[in-house]
Amino acid sequence: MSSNSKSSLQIENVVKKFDVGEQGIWERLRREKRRHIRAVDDVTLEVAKGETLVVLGESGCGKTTLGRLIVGLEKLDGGRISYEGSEVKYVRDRGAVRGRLQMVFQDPSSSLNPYLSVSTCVAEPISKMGLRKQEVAAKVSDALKLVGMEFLFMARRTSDLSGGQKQRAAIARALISDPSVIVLDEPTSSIDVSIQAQILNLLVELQSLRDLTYVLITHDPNVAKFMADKIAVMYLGKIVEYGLPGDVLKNPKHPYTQALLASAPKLDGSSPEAIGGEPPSLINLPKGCRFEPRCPHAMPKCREREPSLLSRDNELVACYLYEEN
Amino acid sequence: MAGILDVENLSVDYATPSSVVHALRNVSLTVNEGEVLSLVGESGSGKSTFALAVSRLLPPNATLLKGGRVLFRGEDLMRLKKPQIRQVRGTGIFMIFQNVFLSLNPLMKIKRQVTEAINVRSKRAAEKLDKRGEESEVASILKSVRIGDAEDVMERYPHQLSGGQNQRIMLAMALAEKPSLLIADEPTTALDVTTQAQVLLLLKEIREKSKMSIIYVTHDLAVAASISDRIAVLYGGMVQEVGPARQILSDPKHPYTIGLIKSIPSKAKNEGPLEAIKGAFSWDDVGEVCAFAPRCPLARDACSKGIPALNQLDKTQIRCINYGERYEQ
Amino acid sequence: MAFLRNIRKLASRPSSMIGLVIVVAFYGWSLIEGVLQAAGELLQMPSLGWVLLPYSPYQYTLTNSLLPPSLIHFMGTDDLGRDIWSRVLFAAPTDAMVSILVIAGGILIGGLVGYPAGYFGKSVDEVNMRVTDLFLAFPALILALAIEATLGRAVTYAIIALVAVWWPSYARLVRGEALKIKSMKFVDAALLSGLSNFAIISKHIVTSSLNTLISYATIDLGNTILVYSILSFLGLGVPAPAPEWGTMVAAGLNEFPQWWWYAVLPGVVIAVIVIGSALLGDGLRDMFAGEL
Repeated sequence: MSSNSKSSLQIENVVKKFDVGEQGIWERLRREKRRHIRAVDDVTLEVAKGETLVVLGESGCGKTTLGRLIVGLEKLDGGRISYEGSEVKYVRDRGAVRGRLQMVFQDPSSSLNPYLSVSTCVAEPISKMGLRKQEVAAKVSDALKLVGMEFLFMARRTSDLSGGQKQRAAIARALISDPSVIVLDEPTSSIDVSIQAQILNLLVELQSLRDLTYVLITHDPNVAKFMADKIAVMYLGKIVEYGLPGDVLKNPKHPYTQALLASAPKLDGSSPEAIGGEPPSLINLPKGCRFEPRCPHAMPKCREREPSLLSRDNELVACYLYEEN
Repeated sequence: MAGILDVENLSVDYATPSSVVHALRNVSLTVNEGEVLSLVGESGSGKSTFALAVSRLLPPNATLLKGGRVLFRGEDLMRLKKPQIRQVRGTGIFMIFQNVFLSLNPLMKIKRQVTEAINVRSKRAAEKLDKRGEESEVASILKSVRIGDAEDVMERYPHQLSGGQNQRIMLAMALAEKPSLLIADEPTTALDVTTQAQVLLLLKEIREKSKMSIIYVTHDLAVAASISDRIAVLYGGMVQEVGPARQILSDPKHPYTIGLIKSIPSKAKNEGPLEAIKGAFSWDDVGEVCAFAPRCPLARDACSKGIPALNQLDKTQIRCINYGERYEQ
Repeated sequence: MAFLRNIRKLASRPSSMIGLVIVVAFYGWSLIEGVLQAAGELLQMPSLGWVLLPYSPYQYTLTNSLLPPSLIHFMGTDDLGRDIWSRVLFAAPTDAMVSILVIAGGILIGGLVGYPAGYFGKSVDEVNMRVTDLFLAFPALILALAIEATLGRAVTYAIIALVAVWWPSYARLVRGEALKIKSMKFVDAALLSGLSNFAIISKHIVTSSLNTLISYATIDLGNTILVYSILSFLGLGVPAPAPEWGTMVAAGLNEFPQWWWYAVLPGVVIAVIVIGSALLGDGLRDMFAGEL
């Protein structure tokens, strides 16, 4: 990835491990090493200011974990994430900078406390800044206006809102602290398609209005096509393809990207093409390429060592098919 | 029109603590033998209520209003008593749900559940199968839905398998029971795209082989596009447009259908904003006039004169004043 | 409070309404009578506490002893000719107070132990829950008896003993809620907003668990009265001649079964309140469940 001087977000060799299995007293006595999975395994990305990076992948690929690492909700096990030069710290560490990185979660019903009012939820990011009540109320009102919600909503309980309204409130909450980077984890997956279009339009509008940098996580290639300035395709914790949406979506290089795009059902009624096999688990990773067991182009070399990202035609692909000999 | 399933004037109300919700209003649909009919709609459309009503699995706070008939092979399901319903369930009508744990018993091994399904069919056909025969049939059924390691999977419990595998096992049970009508309520919504593709292809194969009729409930037009013969679009508890799938997708007539198709992103953001349907569905809009009118770009005064009736246009039916000024009584 | 919006659902169930009537009648009466009794003590006019009663709870007429229930003596009289119904009414405020204090104490201590256990997990959870298990290991009644026997016979000591026995179930309840709620994304959002752990627990975890806590506590009110009555039945209650439900039942057993009303009727009162609080709590739980 070429270093862009206008880089907003730098993600370098990021690793996140999760422990697997129990560790009771017996295991501790035998000093058994804790087994772990690498949900995010050596990921490097850069996002320029004001741009949208779409992370495209299915469940279990690590995209949600990556999103949480970017805002600091998870601790890094390796690598570094920095925003405009300064390091992003784990949320519970002292001195972690609040407010400049925000997140919009997938399920609006669980991301807003159903027992609290809209204004209490939206005001949360600025609630600890020592502002006066009127100032807070004014900011909440402004934020709601930005997302197209009326002032009347402020006193309502969040559980009274529809899915689309809840997501707008969640976006208002993300905006109220005037962030520069917003990570959106499948922001429209839990709402109706007709409302999704409204929300996507809103997000684009807000981005140009506030010069926001987005990291949008999704499994939907259509959403990726609309929103992305750059796309990174993830599979089992690794980036397998990276490039411009026009290239990645129209002429996918990596066999997984090809399979993913081919299996999406299309409005013209063409049959989705399915790849065989089960989505593998992160516990028993193959030694070589992680996609090899299901890959129609697998070669013997793929089983030996994992391919690293190669530069090819303005894209990055992790596949031996594109190795220059 | 005698199809395998003829629904006439089905209306369902739900009683909530604050009010009564008219989830389905005067819905009439026919499913022909061997055909796949998709019910497409978003929240509030009533599509799931339809599926539950036909399978007589409505929750206790639902009321089936008088005047509705659900004819399965000519017999009115609404009039059947419990033992007769059990006869119909299984080999007559089989239902699979979005949440697999609603269909699969988390406390029973897969082998036992598939065997149960086989037994239902055997009883129906008065066949008898011995233990070994049962096991090998379970294995072959699991293999037919492309479950690798069938012998291994048989001994497992649902929570030890993935969502995709469980959903395919449900389909396997459907195969085992050989129902005439399969009702699938958003079976792939919770699955990944690649897994969804596997399940959809499987459904298509099953249908080719067994000539099963399928009612497929989904919010995803593209999914409906890939497997349906006919599509019915629902909004506010009523059928708004119904007709051959190819026709509805290539030449949609109802403003809501058009809006739905346009809402699916098909371009990049720098080509302009998406053409979204304005506003949102609200139960307040469901009343004596067209429920979609508040959001409709083609709305005019005639829309508030009453609920538009279904107009027949070639092979499609459309409920919209712009295609015929007729109203429901 | 906002949670009363679904009150119609509660009203629609006859069992919940019966429970509500019983609970409100009991605590309402206890409040009024309790205030009168307290005022009476303060002003050195004990008869103030008898103003609303049909008879004085202490007035005895030996010739009237062991009269069956009738129109003039609603629950009959005891061996000393005292009107049982008046004594039942007079003793009510004590039970009401005990139940409220025990539940409050249980929630307070249980909350301090359980919320951090569920929220922080790991070592905090282990330590707190093992202490909880320790208390739970003792059969409730035996522990309460032991504590009170050590401290002495007084309502205050009975309350302390009961709180010691009651808090562990609240600790468990609250821990479960905390575990469930901490995985909600709004807790992540609160972390991102810079809220401290304490703020998150009080603002989000406690508020989200209130519904469960309230329904459970309501059902529990009856239980505390029952156990307190058992304690006084076993002789650890307020000393004679002050009326106390449990003590009355114990005394009544001497006259059982011929003069059955002495032992049975106060017991019936206890049973009615236990059932009433259970019905109400059940109704509240359904009302909350339909909320969201």
